[in-house]
Amino acid sequence: MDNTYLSLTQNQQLLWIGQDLNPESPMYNMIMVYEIKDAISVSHFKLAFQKLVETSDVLRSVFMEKEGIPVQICLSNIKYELDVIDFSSEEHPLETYKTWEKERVKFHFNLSQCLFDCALIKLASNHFMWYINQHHLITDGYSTTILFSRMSQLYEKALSNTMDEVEMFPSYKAFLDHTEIINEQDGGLEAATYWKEKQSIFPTAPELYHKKDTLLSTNSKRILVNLGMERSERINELANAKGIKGWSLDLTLYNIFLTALFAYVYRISGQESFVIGSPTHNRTKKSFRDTLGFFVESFPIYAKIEARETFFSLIKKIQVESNAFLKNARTGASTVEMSRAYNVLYNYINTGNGTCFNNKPVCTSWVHPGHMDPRHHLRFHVHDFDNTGSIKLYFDFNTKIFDTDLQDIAWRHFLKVLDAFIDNPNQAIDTVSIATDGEIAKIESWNNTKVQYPRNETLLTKFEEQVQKSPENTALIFEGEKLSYKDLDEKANQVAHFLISKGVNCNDVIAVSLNRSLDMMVYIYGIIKAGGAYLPIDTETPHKRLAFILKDAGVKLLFYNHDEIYESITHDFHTVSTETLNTNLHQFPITTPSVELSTNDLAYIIYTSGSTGKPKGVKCHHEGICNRLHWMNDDYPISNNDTFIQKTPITFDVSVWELFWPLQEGARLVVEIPNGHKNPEQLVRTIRKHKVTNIHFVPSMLNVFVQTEGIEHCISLTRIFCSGESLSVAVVQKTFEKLDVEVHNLYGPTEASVDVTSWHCKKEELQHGIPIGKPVANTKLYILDPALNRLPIGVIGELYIAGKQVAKGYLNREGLTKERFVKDIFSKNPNTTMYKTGDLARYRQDGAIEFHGRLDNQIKLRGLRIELGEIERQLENINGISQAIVAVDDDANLVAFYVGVQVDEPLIIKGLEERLPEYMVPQIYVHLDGFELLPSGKVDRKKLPRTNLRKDIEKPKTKIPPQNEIEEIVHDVWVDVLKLEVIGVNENFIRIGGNSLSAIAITSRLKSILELDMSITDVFNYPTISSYANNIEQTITTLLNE
Amino acid sequence: MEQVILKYINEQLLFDNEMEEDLDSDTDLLGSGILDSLGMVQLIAFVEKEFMVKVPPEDMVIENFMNVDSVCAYLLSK
Repeated sequence: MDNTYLSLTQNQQLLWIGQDLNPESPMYNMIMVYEIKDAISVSHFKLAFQKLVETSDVLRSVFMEKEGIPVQICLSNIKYELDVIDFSSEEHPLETYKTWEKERVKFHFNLSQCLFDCALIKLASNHFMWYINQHHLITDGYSTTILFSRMSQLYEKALSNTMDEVEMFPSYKAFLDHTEIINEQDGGLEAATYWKEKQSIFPTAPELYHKKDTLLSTNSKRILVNLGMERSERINELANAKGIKGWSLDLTLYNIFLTALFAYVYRISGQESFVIGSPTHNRTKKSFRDTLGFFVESFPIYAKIEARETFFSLIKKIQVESNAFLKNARTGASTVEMSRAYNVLYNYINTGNGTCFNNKPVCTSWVHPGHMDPRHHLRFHVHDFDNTGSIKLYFDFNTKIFDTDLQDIAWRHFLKVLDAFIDNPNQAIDTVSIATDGEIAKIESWNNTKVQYPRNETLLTKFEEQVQKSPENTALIFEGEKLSYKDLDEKANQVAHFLISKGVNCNDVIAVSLNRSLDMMVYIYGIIKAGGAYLPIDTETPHKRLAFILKDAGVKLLFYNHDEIYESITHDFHTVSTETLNTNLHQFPITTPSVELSTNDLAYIIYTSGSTGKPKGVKCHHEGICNRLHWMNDDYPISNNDTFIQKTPITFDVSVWELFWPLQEGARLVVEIPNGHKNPEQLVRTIRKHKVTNIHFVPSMLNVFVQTEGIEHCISLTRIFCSGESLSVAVVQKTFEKLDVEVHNLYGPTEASVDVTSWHCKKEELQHGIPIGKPVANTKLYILDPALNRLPIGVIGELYIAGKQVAKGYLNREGLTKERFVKDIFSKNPNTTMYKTGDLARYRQDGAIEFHGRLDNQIKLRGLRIELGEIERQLENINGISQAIVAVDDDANLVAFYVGVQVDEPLIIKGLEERLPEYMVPQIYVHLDGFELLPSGKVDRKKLPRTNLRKDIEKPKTKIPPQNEIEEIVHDVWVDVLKLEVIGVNENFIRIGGNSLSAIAITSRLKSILELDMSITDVFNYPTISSYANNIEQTITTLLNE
Repeated sequence: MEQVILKYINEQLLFDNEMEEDLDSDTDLLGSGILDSLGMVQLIAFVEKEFMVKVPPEDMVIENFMNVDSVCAYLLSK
């Protein structure tokens, strides 16, 4: 192939583009280092290397662009330097070498001059390093092996002075010709059809450790893991097992490691189906086995991991897939689109070196240049270069996806998976515990929340102590009325005595259907004092539901203070109007009744809606809620100078701390008027009038509140607590703009006494998002996989809660209680339970927990799991959007509803595309003036508009024609290259089918038309005709101004 | 059939030039390292074309391709 311009193979073209996209990156440097324990004769080595270059055409090949097309040419002579370096007189020769190597690997090749860099380094008289770095365009793993043994032979010949006998290497041109013939014949057609079909089922590439696929740099880190003799032998045994053994040991090992890799990626991404890329050596002809050059071509391998998939059942699938892969991995059949389907590359290197150089043992390393193709998040290589019998793994981690911590942990996760496979191929992949001991120890330390609080306390113990301390202080304020601590205590005592006279005992359930008022407080306190558990009921509860709850809970008595009570209810149940009873209360003593209450007795019961439609009552005991209140008081100290507002409807458990905590500490509690909690202006009035210091909001309501007029006058506010929904950065930012307050994000289910985690939102940390935080006192949290294994840090799983606050289960729902309150398998005490929340969460590296939505809010669209909440959070990050809800319509479109400023759809899409995979970007966007809220303040998803969605999507998107001369020129070239009739100036290059090859063509054509120097990257940086033309215009303007 | 296959392997696929014995119909193709996995698929592609059969990935197992005899037996069973 001497001195003629030759075109590049498909693979070479891809590398060329890759290099062009990252011109400064040494990501294609393939560095082999051979450590030789021999006294190398430098002059003979030089002679041998010279002969090597003379006899191998690829080593004399250079690359350049001719009329916009990359070409290669083999020079008859090439200028190169063989560096001979002597470190033997250094104090630490090897270390000096390592330092040298670290810099040298980044060597930047000028592709038009020489594509290799060779050095011989002397460490001692009989200890040398042969360093050879070749650009990937002229080599591959197999090629380096041939080169090594060839060099060894040449050196021997040089020593024995028999160099004349050396023949030329077979020419790489034979491969180029072969590729061309295949392309011309339809020999590759079958393979092409196969891949085309296969490609249609390829899902989006998995998100490793849920890390988003943003623009990555080429920086990467290689970690070498030696599996050791024992493990390698066990793997070889496994390779001989029935059903696992394939045609050859190499193929079997290939399948074993690929199976483990699939299982690993599945476990750390949660994605069930995906593809992994894998190279095939492509040396399909006898002569190619001795030819130096770049032959390998990567193809995708697809697998789907089903529920309860075992390693054995997966490897059976992999066997079939890898057979089909081998069969169809034909030269030139890969495409750019196929390579875009994977971000994990698997490379099984079955070429061991001769292990000897001139009959002296050699230790081989493939040195990583610290960079790799940014499309690959992980490259996984299996090899045993020196035939030691101990298998080695290289993990090449893209450092954007794998930070330093993760690099050190990720490979351990893989080993956990691999070891589980070796131990028992019939083990279900889902049941493998992949968290490392180090991670478990960390999680344990985050769960170390033990605090000793006073024993034997009940919900009112501290209140009653407070009554003694400050009897005359104001406890409650409602409209114009006030109640002192003493008054409240005495009235509540009278209610308690009334209940006791009616035969109420500990753990009896007393329902309250009370509008917010002083009475509401008095009666709830009275119930507790009598030893009963209060059961709050919405005053607007429909008749049937009310009757169901009263019956289900075995309610002894119902208190009400409104006219909405149904006759049938008063007829069938024991009901008492507080208005009537109030006139008779004076008959009962004002002293504290003596009641024997235990901390395990019920304090309250709250009904939550069940997924089956039937509400279920959660049994909450004194110890749980007391722990919750003690913790809150420790973390957020308050005093008698504080004023709280009771605005949360008592049917929601957030109200429990509003009702009891302030009065435990001597503070004042303003009881908001009925429905006042829904009226932001009224709240502003209340806050200003009573100088309220602490308040709770559901995030949706906080969003409305901070946009209310006069909010900036609420200067008395010092703390805002949020819970009930996930809190978005946007809402907190807006709050900080208007108010000088602390914002705390709390999380917890009713089943674990209100809240179990907390997070202080700090302005300077908002860019990291808002986690739900860390566990409260005496609470342990576990993030587990479906088999109840602890998950590694950073991996999403279901959140479980254990500790003092876990409720006693559901009333009369033994089955459901058993399902949700399971045995705490991590506790030494066999009787403790943990609550299965149904919420998805993961640990951050700092131990804070991120909430990732409801397990049942996860939807599956086209086989991909989508968490709607995640899309919502990203929408809220877009300027102008204050809150967003995403739903799926009947045609499986993702529909985004949002409030705030109306934003141009392309702007939203652009913003989302930067942060979300394409399949998570909604198809339809609906701007609303506001969301309808549920009584709890949360958004009512059922009331989102449903109409006209279909019409919207069918609305044809108008293609905007070019607007100026430059746009026209660009348009014509795009249209021609992409073989389309019209392209709108705002259409995205990738979305209309553009790829790297078309980018080359576009760039080269425009270069010659406009006579401008342009980079291929511009097409990706300015992916629309409009932005691309605009960039050209600016370049021209800059040039003219110079 | 046997001869055709043997001829193909000898001419197109045999990588190991230093093989001492001749290739026979009962020579272990895989165990003795005569063919690697890619070579094996080439052989399959060849028989598919030559004998007008289709070898699905499921059939690509060691039992069917151990040696030329087993390849013939498999093909006859199709």
